[in-house]
Amino acid sequence: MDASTQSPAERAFLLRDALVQGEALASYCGPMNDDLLAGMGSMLRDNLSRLGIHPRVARAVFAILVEQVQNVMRYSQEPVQFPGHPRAGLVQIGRTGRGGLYVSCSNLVDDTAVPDLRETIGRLRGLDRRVLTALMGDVLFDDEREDTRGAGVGWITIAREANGQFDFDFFPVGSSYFNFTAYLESAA
Amino acid sequence: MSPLLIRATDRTPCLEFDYDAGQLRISGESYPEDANAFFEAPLTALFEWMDSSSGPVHADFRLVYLNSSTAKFIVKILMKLEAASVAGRDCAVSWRHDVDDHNIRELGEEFRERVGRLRFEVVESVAD
Repeated sequence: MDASTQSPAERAFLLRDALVQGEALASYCGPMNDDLLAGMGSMLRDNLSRLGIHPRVARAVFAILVEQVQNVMRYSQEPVQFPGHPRAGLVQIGRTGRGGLYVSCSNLVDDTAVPDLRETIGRLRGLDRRVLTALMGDVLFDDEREDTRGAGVGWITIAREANGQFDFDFFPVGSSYFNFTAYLESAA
Repeated sequence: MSPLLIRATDRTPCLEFDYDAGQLRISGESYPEDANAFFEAPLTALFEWMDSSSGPVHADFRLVYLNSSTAKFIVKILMKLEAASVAGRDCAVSWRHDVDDHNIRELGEEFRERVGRLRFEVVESVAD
């Protein structure tokens, strides 16, 4: 059924059903900023503590959330659905069927950004934590010595927290944009 | 020089720079989106003090979480301390981590390797 013909109650139930199916612990779609991130982080920590999630796992999920949302705040392009609020996206945290946790984050990007993103993130996939920690040191110290922009430290941090296990994808939206989604899991 | 005290918020750390005692402490959580806006002024004052003084400096890091933007400023501090140490100044770093926080511990160990000419200890537990 088309969304425009659904009642508010039906739309709400379908959204609820999707969130329950996704075992969502927290979900947000819209403009993102520091205050929102602090609030989401606090809510997430409370939820994870109440669920008995190990503090080490909770810290990893929190770190992934922070870097993902701050990437949205810096790089997203949302010209259609959130006019006047280009730094917007969708973030969802939930439980995996295997007892772990996931963080999924989506935002629109200009199509010209896709090749660089694919290369920057793709080279991190599958690397182990030790290698990613050393790579983080390389980038942080080399950038400081050479006064370069430091691109990629956030993604290295994300990959490190997920032990290199993550997926990402681009879905075309119109003729100039892609919906970029990164999906990361943290073991329980 | 008057000491600096910036109290922690839910997303920025506590900065305590006691210049006369040569004691610097950064503690708490740090994940401001615009880390430059938070760190630039305190670090400018810190580096000016370092350039105009010569006494011992001890930097005590008690961070329980830092984002990648914050890490860039921590690296600036460590490199400044290492340069001063190489020039003959008595500089030391204590990097404290919670017992089961391997993330902060590994980061401290990685930083210690990168500033090998600076006295740098990685210490378990953030408690006094």
